[in-house]
Formats: sequence, C-alpha cells, structure tokens
Amino acid sequence: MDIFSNPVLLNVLIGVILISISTAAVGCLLYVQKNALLGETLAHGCLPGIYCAFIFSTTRNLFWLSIGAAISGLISSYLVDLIVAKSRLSRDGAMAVVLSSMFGLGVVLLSFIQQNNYPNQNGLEDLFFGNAAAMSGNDIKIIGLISIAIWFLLITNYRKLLLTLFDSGFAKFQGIRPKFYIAVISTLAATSVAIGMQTTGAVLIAALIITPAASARIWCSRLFDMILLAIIFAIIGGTVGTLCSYAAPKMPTGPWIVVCMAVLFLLSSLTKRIYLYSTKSD
Amino acid sequence: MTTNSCLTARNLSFSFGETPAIQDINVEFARGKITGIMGPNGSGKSTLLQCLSGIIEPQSGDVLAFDDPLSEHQKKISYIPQKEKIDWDFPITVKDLVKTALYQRLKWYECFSEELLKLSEEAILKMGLVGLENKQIGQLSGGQQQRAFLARALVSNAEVFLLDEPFTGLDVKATKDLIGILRKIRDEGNSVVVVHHDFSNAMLFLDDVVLLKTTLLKSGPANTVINSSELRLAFGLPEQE
Amino acid sequence: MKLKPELFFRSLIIIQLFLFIQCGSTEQSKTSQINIVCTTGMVADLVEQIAAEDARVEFIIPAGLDPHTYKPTAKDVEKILSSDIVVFSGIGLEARLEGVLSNFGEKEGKTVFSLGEALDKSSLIITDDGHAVDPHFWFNVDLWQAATSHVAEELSLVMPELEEDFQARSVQYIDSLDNLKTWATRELENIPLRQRVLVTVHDAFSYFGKSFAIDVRGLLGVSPEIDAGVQDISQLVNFLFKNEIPAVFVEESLPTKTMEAVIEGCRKKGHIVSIGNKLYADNVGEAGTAEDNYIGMFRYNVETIVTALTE
Repeated sequence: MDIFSNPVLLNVLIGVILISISTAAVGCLLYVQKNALLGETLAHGCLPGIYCAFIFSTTRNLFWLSIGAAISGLISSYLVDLIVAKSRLSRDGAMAVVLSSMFGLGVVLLSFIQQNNYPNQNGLEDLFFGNAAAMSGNDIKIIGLISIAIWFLLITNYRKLLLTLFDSGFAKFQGIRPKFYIAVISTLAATSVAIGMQTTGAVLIAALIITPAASARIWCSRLFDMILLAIIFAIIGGTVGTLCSYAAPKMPTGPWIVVCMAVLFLLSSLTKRIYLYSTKSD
Repeated sequence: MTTNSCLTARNLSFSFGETPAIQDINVEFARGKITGIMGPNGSGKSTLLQCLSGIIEPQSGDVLAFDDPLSEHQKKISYIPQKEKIDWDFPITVKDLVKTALYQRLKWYECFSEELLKLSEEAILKMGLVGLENKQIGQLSGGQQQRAFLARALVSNAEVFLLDEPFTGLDVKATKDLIGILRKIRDEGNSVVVVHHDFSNAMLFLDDVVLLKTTLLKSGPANTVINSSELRLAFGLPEQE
Repeated sequence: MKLKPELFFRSLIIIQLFLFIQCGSTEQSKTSQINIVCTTGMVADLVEQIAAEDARVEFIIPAGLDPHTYKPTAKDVEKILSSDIVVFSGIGLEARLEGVLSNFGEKEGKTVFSLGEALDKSSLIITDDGHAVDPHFWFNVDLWQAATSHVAEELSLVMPELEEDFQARSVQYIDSLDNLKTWATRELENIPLRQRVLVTVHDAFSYFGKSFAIDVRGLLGVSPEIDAGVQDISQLVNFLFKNEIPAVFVEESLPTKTMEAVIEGCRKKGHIVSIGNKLYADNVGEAGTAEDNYIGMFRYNVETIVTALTE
C-alpha cells in the first residue's frame, strides 16, 4: 500500500499518531493514579466548554474550541474534587455525577445552537465520535504544538510526578508539593483529551487514554517502561485502526482505532497468560 | 548534636473532625534506641507516628527533632507507612524504589551517576535484597517489602527510622530477620521508633515503650511499661496478684 | 348560610359557559385566510407563485440548514399542526420530518402533499446502491414545471373557487421556467468538454448533470448524514488529480472541513484545486437576497459553476 503517495491518509496517520502518543503517556499516569475515570469525566466535561466557545466565537476553529474544551474539562475535575471534599460521596460517585451533568449540559447547549440557527454549526456533532478523516494540515500543526507542550511538561517533571503518584508523603519530604503535581496531571489529562476529541470524539476518548496503558502494564514493572510500551501500543493501534478505516468507504476512523486498541489489549493479556503458563511448566 | 532525644512531642493533639485521635501528648523518644509505640486498637498510635514524621500537622502542640524544630532536621527522619497504605500495584522495582530517595539530588535532565548508583546498591546489599533489584514491589514477600523501604531510608542518610506496624503479616523467620535488621540500624547509632502490637516479641528488641490510649499512659524502659498496671488497665486485663 | 355554596357553583358554571363561547368565537375569527406551512424556502417560493395573496405561506427550515437532517423544534410542530395545508418537497428529502407530517395528514380537514409525489417515476434517479431515490429533482427544470402544475391542482382542491387564478399563475410561471432552462443551457455550453465535471460535497446535482450533460460527483452520498471516511477522501483526491479538474464546490448548508481536506490532499500531490463559491444544493438563500427564490437560486448556481470551470 503506497501510503506515502496518498497525502490524505498520511495526514490522518500523522495526526492520529501524534494524538495517540500523548494520550497514551498521560493515560499511564492516570492508570497508576487509579484515576482511569478521569479521562471519561474530562471528555464529557469538555462538551459544554466547546459549545460555549463556539457560541462566543461563532467559528469552528480548533484552537478556540480546544481552549473551551480544556477550561471546561478543568472545571469538571475541580468540581469532582469539591464534591469529594464537601460531601460523603466517593470519588467515582462524584465523577459519575459530574460526568453526566456536564454531558447533559452539553446536549442542552447543542440544542440551543441548533434551534437558534448559528451559521457553521453543521458538524458540531462530530465531537461525539470524532472526524479524523477530515484532519487538516492546520489541525496537525496545533496538535503538534500542544503535544510538544504535553511532552515538555512530562519530561521535565517525570521524577516529581512519579514520586507524587507513588508516595505523596515521601514526596513532601523531598520538597515536592503533591497538590501542585496532581494539578499538573489533571492539566495534562485535560489537554490530551482536548486534542483527542478530534479523532475519537468525547464518547470514545477515554479508550484512547486507558487502553494502551492497561495493555502495557501487563508487561512492565517500571513506570518508564510502561509509558514507552504504551506509546508503542498506541502507535500500532492508531495505525492499524486508521488503515482499517481506509479499507472501505464511509468507515469512521475513531471507532476503528478504539477497536484495534481493544484487540491489542486482548492479545497482550492472552500472550502474557500463555507466557506464564509455558514458563511454569518448564 | 549532644542531645539525648531524637524526637520530642510537646502538647501534641490531633483530631479527625470531631474525634480526637491523640490528646496532649508529651513524650521524649530516646536517641540511639528502639522505642515501641503500643496500645489498644484505635489508640492513636499511627497518628502519633505520622505527627512525629511531619506527614501530618498537629492541631496543637509541636514536634522537636534533636531538640530543634522538626523542619530543620526533616531530611534525617524517614517514615515507612503501614502496609495497606502503600500501592503495591505501582509499577516500580526495588532498585527504582531505593533510587527515589536520590531524586532530589538530580536535575530533570541528569542521569544517575556512578556514585549515586553505588549508594543505592550498597543499601540493597545491606538489606539483603541482592538478586531482587528488578522485581516489582508487589512480587516481594512481606519481609522483603519492609526491607526495601528500609533500604530507601538508608540511602537518604536518615538517622531516625519511623515504622508503622512493620511486622504485620510476617512469618516467624521474617520477623526474626527484621528484628535483626532493626538492631543493626540501632547499633550504628540511629534511632528507631516502631508502632508495634505484638507483646510476645516486644521484649526481644524494644528498648523503650510508649503506651498510648489517646493520651499518654506511660513511657519508659520496655520491661517497666510492659509489666505495669497501666498496661493491664489499658487493655482491660485483670489485675495481677 | 345554606344558599352561598349553591350560588358559588352556579356562577362558576355561568363563567365557564361564557369563556367557552368566547373561545369559540376567537377560533372562528382565526380561519379567515388559509394558512400554508412549507418545509424549505424553495417549496414556499413555488407555493407562493401559485397562491400569491390568496393564502398565507411560511416555511420552517431556515436557509443555511440541511433539510436532510433537520429535526423539527417544538415551535415547528406547533406551526404545522395549526396550519391548514402543509407542503413538502418529498421523495425522502426531509427525512426527519416524516413522522410529524404523517401525523398531520391523518387529521380531518387538513391537507398535506409533496412536490415529488406526482412526478413520473421513470424520470427519477435511483442512487448507485439501488435502494434510495435521489430527492434533488428540482435541478431538472422540467420536473420543477411538473411540480408547479401539481401545486396548482392540489390548491384547487382546497380552494376550488380560485382554480382559474391558480391555473393562470401556473402557466405563467412555467413559461418563465422555460426561459430559465434556455438561458442555463446556453451558459453551460461555454464550459469546455474536458472540464465539464461538477464536484460537490454531497450528491445533490445528479438531475442537474443529466439535464445539462455535465458529469457530477459528490464526496458524500445522496444524504450527507454519514461522514466521508479516509478512503472516500483519498479516492476523490485521485479523481481530481487524474482528471485535472480545476475547481470543486462547497455547499450552503454543509460543513466545508471535509472538502478542505480534499483540496489539501490535491495540493500535496501538486494539483491546485480552487474552491468555487458556495452552491445552493438543498434550498434557496436567505430572505431578502437575490437567491431567495428558485429562479434566482438557479441562476446563481449556473453563473458560479460556469465562472469557476471556465478558467
């Protein structure tokens, strides 16, 4: 298959890979934090922000929508912390409340937009399942820039993040403020959700975040190795998914990627079992 | 420093919401000794230990380390939490766990130098964990897990080792080994404070005991406290003739 | 005071009767003029050509929105249910309105009809997969003429006293449509043979292509509900590249993002494709513009296509 002579396919592949790498790395952090649901909460929490950004700017420029998404996502995660602190609700209960409320608010805003005939509104429903096939060069530039920012934050703070996630008491003794780094993780999560919405949409982005991390954890004893393996899985899943969506007409790219990532997870689990079984019987 | 106490609690109180966990604790922990904090369930032992370590701030009172404010010697205090409080699923190996104590010496772009690697290798050797460096912490036995955290404390050049119920879930051999290691640590001039619950072996290695039941009931040499009437009262045991 | 409760209830009954009478009289005063509700502005334009001042005509789908996926709002449903006649384009264009329209049709004293229902089946185009009928029939001027006659017939059934007026206006309008057709054919002949390809966002122009001997190709199918996948975009890029087509067209009521990806793909292969101005594919333009009626819209489309493809 001559991928390189098909600029459309190449474009989508580059975009998907860039996004998958960022979401996989951030997903590992959320996974070890036992905070997998945060991805889902942020994704649903993003929607009101995106629709508000659209209403204010009346454009579908990815830049403004990403800002709206990130702000709304951060507000969601802050609301979760607030509910946990001030009520008897457990963390996942609080997330369920925030997740569904924000999603409901998003749907209401979308109806408002549709009923009031804003121009350029066609395609806002793309944010539910993504529209990776229509990624433009401009989108890729923005995704690239944001990914670089995510990576910069991750690399410069890696050790501090690891300590905060593993043993926040010990981190405090080392002069690290755990609350600050938890906030950094939330910001990274919100940002990667914002850029990932383009590919898989709000409904499925959680899969892009958690599945590579889960697949990698099966094989790795070290966080660093886990992040690297998750990235490899993400690249494989993203590439195979995109190629599957290319194989036939009218195939949605985002859902295909999610399916491929899930298959990878299954294969990873199965392979590990077979490996354990065969080493035991030696 | 020429003081006799490694840690001192002064009028220490801490409450969880309305319920007081510890109240008006005034006690000195002797330097160079192994002190046990003992008492019935819910007597605030862990809370006291956490206040001593600096992980939680008391609502009133304060903690001194070597007769100075705790913050001045924070780096010399190491704290090993209760087994349930640790995330054993976390993807971290023994080697990495020990190395985390050295993180603050490195900038984000620096790698571990030969020197620092040697330090962590020595600590692992000392704790008898050679061969287990690359195992994920969840795959270790109970005794190995405690020793791994002790190795981390060693690398940070701690002088005071605070352990919260380190013997939970250890079999006879592992208990014996851990007692041996705590003695070794003490014999090198360090201080050890353990929250402990097992009276059958307490006398074997504890130098001093602090008896707690929200308030301080008694403190002093181990055999005095353990055979005292205060202890029997605290645990609701019948009076000895 | 035993009498008081009796008095109270009697006065209540009298008040209620009074209110009912009032309601009745206001209902009667409402039905002085026939109320016709149409789906798109284009349908409304045709109905207005025939009905003129003899009925009140309005439409519910605003210009710029996609009729294929338009969902009626509560206000729209209210308007439909309180009107006398409902006219829609039909043969599958207003897919999401079908429920409301069939409800309406079952009410007594209400008339509902579509423009497409009376068309000769053999003149309709079936889509490639053999299942659906292409609803964009109005781009074949002959079929729009047939629809004109149909509107006149249906309105005459409801208001038989005005049948002569309706027929007269119908004949006049069909005449002007003849002029439109002649003009369009002449204009479109200016496009050189090699570039007689019309590429649009969705397959709305098949009837247009057949009428005026132009090849047409849409990125999406007849209904733009399903997004284009990577393969669809790639294939269109290859098609444009191989045939050196200079321009593609975007549409008034559909997003341009996917077509922009096509243009970018072509550019990367070294073939520059320009985006012609927006075409009106499913509806007419905003009220008050020259394109807010069928003839104006058609002329605009033809001029835009000719300009872009004769470069």
